[in-house]
Amino acid sequence: MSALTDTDLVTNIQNGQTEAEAALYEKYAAKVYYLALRESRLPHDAEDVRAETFLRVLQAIRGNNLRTPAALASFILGTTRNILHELFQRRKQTGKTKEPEAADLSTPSHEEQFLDSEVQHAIERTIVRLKPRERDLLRMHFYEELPTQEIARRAGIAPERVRLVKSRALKHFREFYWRLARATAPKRIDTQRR
Amino acid sequence: MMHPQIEDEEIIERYVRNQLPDEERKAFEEHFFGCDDCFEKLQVAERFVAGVRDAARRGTLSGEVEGRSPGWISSSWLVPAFGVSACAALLLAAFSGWMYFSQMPKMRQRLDQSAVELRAQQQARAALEQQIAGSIQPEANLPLVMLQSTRDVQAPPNEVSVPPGAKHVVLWVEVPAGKSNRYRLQVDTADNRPVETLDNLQRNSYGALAVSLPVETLQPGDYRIRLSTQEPSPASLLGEYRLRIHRP
Repeated sequence: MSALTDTDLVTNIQNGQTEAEAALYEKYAAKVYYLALRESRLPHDAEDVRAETFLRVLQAIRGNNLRTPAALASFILGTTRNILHELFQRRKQTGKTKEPEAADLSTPSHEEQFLDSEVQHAIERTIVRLKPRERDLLRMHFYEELPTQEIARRAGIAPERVRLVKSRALKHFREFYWRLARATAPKRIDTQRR
Repeated sequence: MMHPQIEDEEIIERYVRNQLPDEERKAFEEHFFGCDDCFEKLQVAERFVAGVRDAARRGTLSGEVEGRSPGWISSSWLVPAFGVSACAALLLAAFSGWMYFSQMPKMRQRLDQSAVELRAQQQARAALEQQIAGSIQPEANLPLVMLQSTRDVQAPPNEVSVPPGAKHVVLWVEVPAGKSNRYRLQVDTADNRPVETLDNLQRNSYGALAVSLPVETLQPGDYRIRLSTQEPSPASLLGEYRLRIHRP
């Protein structure tokens, strides 16, 4: 079912196939949850947003309120944004917190949701592979958030080199992380909470 | 938004770091909602950035820590390996301490004792070598006395003066032929304390017995010397001599 196109999913749901609804959820739940978590910064709010989003999307599909089945992804994203907007409105009314746009985004609070032992282990193994100057470069870029030109000047390298080091470190990390994640598959989906 | 733009402009990383303008952010969200590949890259980038920032906060992302591996520290094999090494080091330290504080003093005492014994042996050897060297060197002005027997107790004794540096005194005793083939010469002090006894003496071509005695055995004073036959038995006294030793 997961290999079906969005148009097929819409058609099958409209034809009453519950498997198509499960397939739709399987395909988009992680994306909705990720965006909701990123914006709301709270896991339980993200779960609520995801549940409300799929409720409304399915209602729209069943009620033939979807203008273009091929634009299902955009419709789900739009619905998610609407629900997030409603969430922020409620928060503002209750005075709980500010909207993401008004908050300090230099250090996303959702970052901790991605930080687990596998990530830390993979990063450590990646660091070992780096030269001291490359480690300094990553620190200056991602932690101190210095401009690329300044990093290149301090490191005594060309600015293009900064991007190359980041790319290579990310490649190593990806390899180490997926290797660890495959060994601990149940934990890997924690930040996607389907 | 297309993949070349996402790649060239590092859209994913900038999205993770909240550095995209609002329009680009929304455009990328539209894209990854319909693109599983970019969403997967986005998830990895989120973890990568979170991990790098965490490492920087913990101080492990520093050029000064080259060669140090936090992963090694937490790896399963290093902890027991370190433990075994630590135990081995402790055992070695305990053994070294036991050797140093318990065994080393005993060994040092034995060594000192051996050194003392060695020095004593060296001194004894040096004395012997000196004696041997003295005995094999030629000796000039050898004191010699030709013993004459007498029955008159009032007659003066045979006398010999032993000069300084002399090592031997030679006694010369004439013996009549045909008495015996073997002779014994017995030297006693005047009060009959034995000094030296020489056996198996034979007459030389001058018909005399020639005997040398170490001067150490002949302190200044009077001595009584008796000559007797050894063969054939029984022994018979041939003569008695009195000798007086002088030291100038």
